[in-house]
Amino acid sequence: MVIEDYRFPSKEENPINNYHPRLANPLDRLAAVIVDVFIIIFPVASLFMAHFHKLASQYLIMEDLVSFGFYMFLSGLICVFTYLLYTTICTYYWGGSLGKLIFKLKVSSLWKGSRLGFWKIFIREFFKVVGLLGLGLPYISVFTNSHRRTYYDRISETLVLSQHQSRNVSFPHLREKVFFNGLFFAALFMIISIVSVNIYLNYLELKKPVRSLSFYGEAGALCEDVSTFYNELSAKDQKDNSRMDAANSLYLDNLISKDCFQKEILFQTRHGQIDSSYYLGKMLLNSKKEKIVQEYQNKICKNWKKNENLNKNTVAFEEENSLEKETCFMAQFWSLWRSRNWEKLEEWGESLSKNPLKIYSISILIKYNLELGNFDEALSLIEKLPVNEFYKSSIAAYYLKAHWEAGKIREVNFSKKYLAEDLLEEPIEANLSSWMCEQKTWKNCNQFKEEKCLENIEISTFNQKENEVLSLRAIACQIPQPKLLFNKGIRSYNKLRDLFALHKETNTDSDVHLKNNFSKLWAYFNNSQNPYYLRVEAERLYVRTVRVREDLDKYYIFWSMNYPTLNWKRNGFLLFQRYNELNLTQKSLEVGMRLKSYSKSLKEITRGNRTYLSKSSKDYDYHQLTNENKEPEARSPASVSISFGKSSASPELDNSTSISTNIPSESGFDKIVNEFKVEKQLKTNNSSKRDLK
Amino acid sequence: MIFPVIYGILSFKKVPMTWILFFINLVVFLVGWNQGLKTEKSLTKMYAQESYLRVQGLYYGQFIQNSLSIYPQYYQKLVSDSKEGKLSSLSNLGALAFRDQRFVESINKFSFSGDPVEIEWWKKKFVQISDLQSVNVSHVLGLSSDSYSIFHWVTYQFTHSGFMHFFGNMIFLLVFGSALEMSLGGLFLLLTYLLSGMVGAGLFLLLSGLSAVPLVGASGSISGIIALCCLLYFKKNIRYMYFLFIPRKEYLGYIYLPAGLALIIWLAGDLAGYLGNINELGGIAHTAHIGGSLCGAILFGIIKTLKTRYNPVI
Repeated sequence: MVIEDYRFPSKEENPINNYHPRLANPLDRLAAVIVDVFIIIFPVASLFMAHFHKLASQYLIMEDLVSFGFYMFLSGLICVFTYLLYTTICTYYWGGSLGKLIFKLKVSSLWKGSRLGFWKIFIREFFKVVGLLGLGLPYISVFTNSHRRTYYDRISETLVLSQHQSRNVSFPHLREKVFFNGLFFAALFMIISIVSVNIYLNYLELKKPVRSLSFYGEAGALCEDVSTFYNELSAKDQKDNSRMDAANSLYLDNLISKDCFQKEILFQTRHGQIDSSYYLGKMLLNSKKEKIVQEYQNKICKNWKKNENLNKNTVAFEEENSLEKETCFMAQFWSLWRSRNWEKLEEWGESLSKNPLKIYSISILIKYNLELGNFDEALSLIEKLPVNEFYKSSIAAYYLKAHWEAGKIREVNFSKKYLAEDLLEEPIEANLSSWMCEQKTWKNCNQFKEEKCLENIEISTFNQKENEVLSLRAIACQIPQPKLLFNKGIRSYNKLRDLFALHKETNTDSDVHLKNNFSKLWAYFNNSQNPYYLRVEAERLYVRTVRVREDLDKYYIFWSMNYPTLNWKRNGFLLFQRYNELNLTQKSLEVGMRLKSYSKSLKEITRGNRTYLSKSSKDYDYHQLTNENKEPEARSPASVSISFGKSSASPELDNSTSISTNIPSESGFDKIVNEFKVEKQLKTNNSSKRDLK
Repeated sequence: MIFPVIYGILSFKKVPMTWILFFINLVVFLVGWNQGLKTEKSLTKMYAQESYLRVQGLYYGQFIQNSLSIYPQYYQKLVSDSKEGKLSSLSNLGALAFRDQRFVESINKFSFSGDPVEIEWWKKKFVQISDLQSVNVSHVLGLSSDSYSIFHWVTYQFTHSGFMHFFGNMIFLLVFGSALEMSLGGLFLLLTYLLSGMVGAGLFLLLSGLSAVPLVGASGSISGIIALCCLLYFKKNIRYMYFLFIPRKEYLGYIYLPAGLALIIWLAGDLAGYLGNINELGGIAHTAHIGGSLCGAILFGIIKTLKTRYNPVI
C-alpha cells in the first residue's frame, strides 16, 4: 500500500530493465480484469452457481433471509473459486489470464530467471479477491508503489510487466504517489466517517423507547397487543366483549396498527369465526369503500333486518341478544358518523344507551359527547372504560380533553388511576407522548408542531403552575379524533365560512339576505341542540360581521349573560371593536370595563385594547362609569339567570337595566330582553347537559 | 462489454427482409404502446394494491391446499407462513396467483370459504383486471395458457412488452439478420425467424410451462438467427465492438474474434438464466432462447446435410 518495499532484489537480480522499465499500465491491468470478469467469469461462474441462485431466490420469496443469505454467500464463493481457478491456471501456463494476454501483460517473478510456482500464483489471486473487502481501496497501491506493485504482488513476490511497446509505463513520479496517497487517505477517512455515523444513528435508534403500537414484523398468527389487552380485561368485560370486539375497540382508538388488526381478522376468517363483530372489523378496515361498508352493515344487522327502520323505538340494548344488537346499532351509528349525516346522527345520539357494554361503544360515545359538548356525560362514560396498559393513555387523553373543553382544566384530579400514578412511570410517559405525537388529526393543534410536541407534553412539569395549562392543552389537543368528528368540525366550519362570505358580499344593511343570515347565525349559536363547534363558530362570525346596532345590543345581552364561555374574551373584544366602529363610545367602554373586570389576567385585554380605550376615554368620564356599574360577584351563567328571575334590586338586573336605559330609542329591545330572561329560566330549570358553559 | 457488429446495419436495398421484419415489429410495438399506455397504468395500480393482493393470497392459499402436491415446496411454505400471520407471504401468494392459469380458470368454480362479502369483492376486482388485460396487446397477441392457437404462436414473435425489450431485440435482428440474409437470402431468413420462434415457444411450453402471463418477444426467433449465423461462420473472425468502462479511447474499439464466441456466451447466459431463476416468477424466457438456438442448429444441420450453397459473406 502506501508503505514502500523493504525487500526488493538488486538491479541484477530483478527482471526490470532500469532504462526501459516497461511496467504494466495500471489502467491496462484494470481493463484486463474487466475482460476476465465479463467474458470468462460471467457466463461460466453463473452456470456453476445457478442452482444456488435459484434456491436463494426461493428463500427470498419466502422471506427466509438467513437461508437466502447463506445461498447467496455460497453463490459468491463459487464465483470467487471459479475466478481463482481460472486465473491461477492461466497465469501458471501462459503468464497471465486471457484479459492480461489481450493487453500483452505478464505476471513475472520478482527474481530474474525464476518461474512462478502454482501456489504462489494462487496466493496472489486469493489476496487480490480479498482486496474487495476493503471496497477496492487497497488496489490504489498500484499507483503509489515505486515499482507499481500492488499489495498482493508484494505478498507473492511478483511483478506485472508489459510487453506492449507503446503502452507500458515507467516508475511513478513523486507527484503521482502523493496524489494517490492523498486519495487513499481521503477515501479511508470518508468510509470511516460514514460507518461511524451509521453506527451512531443505529445506536440512537436502539435507545428509543419501545412504542406501544404493534408493528408489521410481529411473529405469530395473532396480534400480540390484542392478546395482552384481552387478557387484562376483567371477567365481566371479557363476557361482554369477544376478542374481535377488543381488537375493534383498539383499532378504533388507533392503539393497534392496521396490519395487526388485519391479522386478527385473517385468523377469524381462517377459523370460520364469522359473526357480527367480525363483520364490524371488516367494516372498519374497509372504511373508505362505501359499498362494502354498506354490505357489511347489512350483514351485521341481518337479524334485525325485519325492522327496516331501525331506530330508537325498535332497538334497546337491554333486550334479548343485546350484545349483537348493540354491535348492529353501533355499526349504524358509526356509519352515519362516517357519512357526515349529522342531523340523523344527533337524532340517534338521543336514543343511544346510557349503559353500553362493548368497549368500542363506550369509546364512540365518549367521542360523540365530546364533540357535542356534553362533557359531564363524556366524563361519566370515561370511568367505564377498562383501565389497563393499553387504554389508559386513551382514557387519560379523553379525560383531559373533557376538562379542557369544559374550561375546567384546573379541576383535573391527578389522583385518577390513569393519570397520576401511571403517568409518572417513565416508559408509560414515553409511550403516551410518542403515541399522542403521532395523532395529527385534531384541527386546533396546528400550532403544536410535531417536533415540539414532546417538549409540550412534559409530564414532569404538571406540578408547576405556569406550565400546567400549556402541557395539558397539548395533551388535550392530541387526542385521536376520528375522522368523522374532524370532518364534522370542518363541515360546520365550511358552512359558516360560506355564510361569512355571503356577509362580505352584501354590504347594505337593508339587504334581505343579510338579515336572514344574521338570524341564521343567531339560531346556530343560540340553539343548544346544535353541535358545540358550530355554535362557537357561529357566535364568532356573528360578532365579527354584525354592523347594525340593534343586532349588536341583542348580542351584548347574550354575551354578558354567558360568561365564561370558551371564546368569551375574544368575542367581547370583537363586540368592543364593533361598537367603536359605530362611534358608540359609551357602549364600547361598557364592554371594555366588563372585559377588564371579568378577566383574571388583565394583560391580554389591556394590551389589545389600549389604543381603543385611550381614544375613547378622552370624551368620557371613565371613573364615573366604573363607580356606577359595579360588576357582580357571582359570575356563573346559572347565577345570572336566577338573579334575572328574582328582582330588579339584584346587581345583575341593575346592570342589564343600565344597558337597556342606554338605548331607549331602540324599539322592541325590551321584548328581546324579556325573551332572553324566559329562555334562560327554561334552560336552568331543564338542567340540560348541553347547556353552554 | 462486447457486442458483435459484423457489418453493422445495412440498407433496405441490401437486406429488405430484415427491414420488413423490423418494421412489422415496430408497427406492432407502436400500436401496443399506444394502447398499453391506457391500460398499463391502471393495471400496475391494481397489481400493486396491497389489500387486494392479501385477499387474493388468502384464497389462493385455500386453492393450493386443495391440490398441494402439484405445487413447488416454496408455495407450500408460503401458505404455511401466511397461516402463521406473515402478511407479506399473503401478498406474495396473491402476486403469484396471477400467473397460475389453473387458479385463474377455477375462480368461479372453486368454493372458497370465508367472508362472502370479501370473496364477492375480490372476484369483482379480478374481473376488472381481466377486462383490462383483454385490451392489452401483450395479452391479445402473446402466447399464454388461455390463448395458444396457431395465430398466437406467430403473433407473439412480433410483440414486445416495453421499449428496452424491443430495442435490444431489434439491434440483434438488424446485425445478425443482415448477415444471414446476405448469406442465405430473405426467404430463408423469414423461415428461420418464424420456425425458431415456434420451436422456442414449444421448448418454453415444455420446460417452463405457459402461464396466465403471456410470452412475448422476438428473442426466440432472433436466437435462431444468431445460432445459425454463428454456426455458419463458427471459426471465422467477425467484428466485435468492445467498451471496457474506462473513459479512454484505447479501451473502446473493434476487435475480431471467432463468431462461435458470441454463440457460446449467448447460450451460456441463457442456460445459466434458465437454471438459476424460478420459472414461476417469469421474467426473461431463457428456455425460448434455448429453443430458438436449437432450431438454428437444426437448420444448420439441414444446410450441411443437403449441402445447400450459400454466399460466404464473412
